[in-house]
Amino acid sequence: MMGTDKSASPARRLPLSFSPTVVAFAVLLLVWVITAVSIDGFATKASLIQTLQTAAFLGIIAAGQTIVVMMAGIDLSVSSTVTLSSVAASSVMAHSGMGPYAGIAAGLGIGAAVGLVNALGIAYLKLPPLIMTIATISLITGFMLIATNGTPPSGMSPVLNQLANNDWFFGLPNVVFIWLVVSVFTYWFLHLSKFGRQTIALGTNEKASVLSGVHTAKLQMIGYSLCGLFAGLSGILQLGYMGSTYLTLGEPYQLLSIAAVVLGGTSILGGRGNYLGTIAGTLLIIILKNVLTVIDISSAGREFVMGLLILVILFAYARERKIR
Amino acid sequence: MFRVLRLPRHHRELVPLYVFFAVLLIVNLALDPQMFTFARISTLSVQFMPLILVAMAQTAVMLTGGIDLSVGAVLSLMVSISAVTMQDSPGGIALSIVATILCGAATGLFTGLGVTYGRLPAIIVTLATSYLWHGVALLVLPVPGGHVAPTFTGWVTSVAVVPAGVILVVIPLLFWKFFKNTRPGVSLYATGNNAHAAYVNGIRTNRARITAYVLAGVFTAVAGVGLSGQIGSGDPNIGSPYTLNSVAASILGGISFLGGQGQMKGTVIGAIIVGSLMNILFFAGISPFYQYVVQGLILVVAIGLKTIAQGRKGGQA
Amino acid sequence: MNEAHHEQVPYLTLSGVAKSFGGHMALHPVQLRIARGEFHALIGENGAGKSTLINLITGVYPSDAGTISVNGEAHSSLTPGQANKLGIYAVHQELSLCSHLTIAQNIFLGREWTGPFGRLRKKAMRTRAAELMREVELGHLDPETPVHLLTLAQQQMIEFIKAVDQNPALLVLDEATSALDPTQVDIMFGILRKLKEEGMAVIFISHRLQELFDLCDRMTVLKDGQWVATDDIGRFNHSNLIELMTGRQFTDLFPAKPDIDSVMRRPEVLVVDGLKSDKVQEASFVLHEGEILGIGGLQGQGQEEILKALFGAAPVTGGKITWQGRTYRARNTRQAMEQDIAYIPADRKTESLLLPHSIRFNTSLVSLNRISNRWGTVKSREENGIVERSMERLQVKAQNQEQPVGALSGGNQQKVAMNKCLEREPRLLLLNEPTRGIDVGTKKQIYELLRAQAERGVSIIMVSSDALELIGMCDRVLVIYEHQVNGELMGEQLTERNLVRASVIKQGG
Repeated sequence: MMGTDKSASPARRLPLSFSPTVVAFAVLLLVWVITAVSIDGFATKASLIQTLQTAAFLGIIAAGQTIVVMMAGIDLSVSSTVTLSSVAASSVMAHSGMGPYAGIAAGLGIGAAVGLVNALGIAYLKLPPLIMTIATISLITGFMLIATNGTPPSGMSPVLNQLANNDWFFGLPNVVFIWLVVSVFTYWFLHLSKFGRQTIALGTNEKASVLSGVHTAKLQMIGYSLCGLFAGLSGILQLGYMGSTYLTLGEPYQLLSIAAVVLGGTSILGGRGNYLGTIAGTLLIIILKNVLTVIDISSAGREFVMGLLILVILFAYARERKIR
Repeated sequence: MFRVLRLPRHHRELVPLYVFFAVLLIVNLALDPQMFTFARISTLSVQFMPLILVAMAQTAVMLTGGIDLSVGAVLSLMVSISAVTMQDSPGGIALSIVATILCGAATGLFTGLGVTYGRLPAIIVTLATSYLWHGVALLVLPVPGGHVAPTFTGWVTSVAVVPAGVILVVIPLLFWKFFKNTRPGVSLYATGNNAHAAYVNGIRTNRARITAYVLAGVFTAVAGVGLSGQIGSGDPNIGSPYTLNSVAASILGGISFLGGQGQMKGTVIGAIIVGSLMNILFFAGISPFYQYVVQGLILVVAIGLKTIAQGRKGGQA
Repeated sequence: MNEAHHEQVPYLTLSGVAKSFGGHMALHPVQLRIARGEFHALIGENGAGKSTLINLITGVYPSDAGTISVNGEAHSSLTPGQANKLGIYAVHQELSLCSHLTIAQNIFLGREWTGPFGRLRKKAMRTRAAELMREVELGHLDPETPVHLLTLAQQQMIEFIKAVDQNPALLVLDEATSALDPTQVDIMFGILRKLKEEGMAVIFISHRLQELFDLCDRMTVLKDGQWVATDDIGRFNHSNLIELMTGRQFTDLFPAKPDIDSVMRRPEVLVVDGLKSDKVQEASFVLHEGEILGIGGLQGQGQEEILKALFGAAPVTGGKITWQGRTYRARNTRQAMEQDIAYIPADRKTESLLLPHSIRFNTSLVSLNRISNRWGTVKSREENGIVERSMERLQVKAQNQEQPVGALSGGNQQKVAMNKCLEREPRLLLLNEPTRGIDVGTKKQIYELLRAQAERGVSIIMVSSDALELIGMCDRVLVIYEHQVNGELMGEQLTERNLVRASVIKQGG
């Protein structure tokens, strides 16, 4: 009886999914202006392009993470999926001689498959998403070590390199356009399609969704597969960007992808948020990261400050009304 | 419901675990005939000790219905602090141990406050703090190294009738046994089982949650001290596999991720099982890479079997 | 004996306490005096204000007006903590046990006995728990048993002895015997009578009339949130009691009903034979095309579970269902919906609507397939059409389609919940408390809509705890008592008296 007044209160404001997103963009703008004013060379075109390019790798992963979080799930295994797909693509290109497209297909396919496995465990074995995806990390790490014997193969292809580094228009690297395509798709999926409606319904109230005929298992399979697919895409793009891969490639993306979603105003408990906010969250994180690089503190300090900053920002505007 | 088997209930619940454990011991013994020598027991107890303690930490938190994804990072930090601070004198050793444990408690307090008064979900707080503490660990000890007092290392690694590994586990375990039988102990269980009922009966549920995280920090600190003694130095990255394994050991030991159910001795056995499985893989000459696969499978299989068993009983969850 | 009560200073005096929720008077100002050692029965239909009254006494709700005097000391209202300090304890129908703690731990939860170093005196508590358990003939159980292994009745007994062990001056028993069998009830009453001699007072609510007569000295009757009568229990009997509890005026709220004989001659579309489910022991009935069948009885007797089993939302553990001439069993809600069955839950806030989301979002959720193209894009034009049409159907009062349903009034929320299901044009409509907590105007609209649906051939089953609504709306009513069909009322037989009688008295035969 008491809980309801709270959920009713946002009514006086604009459409609910709107306002936290605006806050996210406002914070982004503020941080960007502050850094641009206080650090030389931050507001240049080169710097902007570099920021966008780095952001794309995170942004593509965060798009998938947004879908999963919106359905009140979470995917901690994006980190290992990123690595796995890059290793798979690289292996295919190094050994099979099947060319770059087979490598790309392998990377994407494996990413989606990891997501599907996650969904099966969550939907049918009833593992909590958190625990299922932690288990997946371990499985992937093991398979990867066994398959590569600890050293990833160095397969690469010019196609992949071009995909990641060349630019098509306006001097913007291709990855930025790929991020754009992923974003358009994700926005469509979450906010324009029936899948999104059901995803958001599931994330808001599972019981009411089931009584409204939402097929939760199917939805989880679609959502986690997309999340895995995007992580896989980011993995092969990073392979192309750097020319080789290594077994800890994906590690930073575990926290950062979730942080990008939550800083973008999407509730970690699901059902509320807007994908556009995740874009702001992604850029915010990358800018903060760049600042930490520029002011030259050690990598240890960076990790410490990133963790702390994320906590502080969360505490400032992403607190939940009630802890479940 | 009340079978003839005259074991006390808290043992009866763990019978499948005991059986699995016994089978594992036999397999282990077949592969490693020297397993029951003093020397081997000493080695094994020291080898298993950090995981047992970190799993105990995870269990304390899981009993309140929470989860701590930062135990691995906290362990790294504790090992680093221990390696940097421990001087080779009785006073120096004691001082370092106390300091490390206090730091462990502080990390737990920080998380606990974030989860209760900070009103942030445990997943995201502990994920963020795992980066935070790992960063601090790297600041304390940028590369593997440092120097743990040789006296302490000697004690930890020596062969003895009562090995150091056993002592380091038994002391926290006795403390837990005491704690469980105090009001805060019951509050912790009650909060995890049914926070609303606990609140209605006058229990301070926030305090119970914070207590659990602080205890987790302390147990992890003891693990860190012991681990630094075992390897004789520090390593700021050593903790990362422990997060997953601590959850696996707890769940294997019968701790429910819904909170309020399970016993610490189950977790201890769960941790020993996880450790023994790794040991078997080692003695069977299987590549250590398979360890990861097995660790992941333990989790999926343990919970999956539970789900299937519950489905059989006809009750929907 | 009655004289003695009146001369004592009463333990508890309520004068003019009242409570309203959102403009609705749940309890009009009430006077009530309870002496030491007095056992007081509280009786009334669903929604008569019994729960509100005891929630004011136990401090769950603050009172809007009047005073609550305990031991001659007046309070404007109480908090749960204050109530406990004053010796007021309650045992509710919903248990507040920690299921995985042991019996002994639960009995002493929050008031554990401790020894040196804060160590629990487990043995002492266990001994005390065993003592208490022996008194309620649960001596065969080990106090170390986790309570989730106990039967519901045993759990209820544990709640009872837990409350009794705190030496209450006033014990409120709110349907605290609902899961007990007659022997267990006798045991509980035996203990209560012993404590009565020590001066403990009791307020007792039970759906079993006989229990009230067996135990209590005095009785208060409530109706529609208003006090009706308080007197010695000897002055009441089954028939004058039912008179007092009922007798409300019919209003012109309800549309005209068709002739019952013609309804009974229509084809049978749904045949339920020996249905078993959670909380349903056995239910058999038929439903005709275009009939409105009511299911009544006191709350929690298994009415909701019948609907949920038909909708694939509760397990069917036995029996046979025939729907539109074919054997039917829904394994999930989607299958039921594909068979043109719709369910409108009682608790619209947790089971039907997504409160933070818009009217549009909620209305179209069940019709998404029809309004999206083959890629899955929701076609906003067609969505607009559906939403506008449905908002007109029941005249939802809202600023626009984008308003979050959480911001709407209860009546408008219910309209959205109904619209959402009607949009799929179901042939069988399962309604659970369709007008709970909504205003009269909306009620009337909903009644008219339901009758119109029935006239179009839609068959309707409607669970309601409002006797007037069942009588006014339904062609026929089944009354459930203790998880079984206890009576079927139609035509002339369908009166409030008969309905209440079948709800509280087991019918012979």
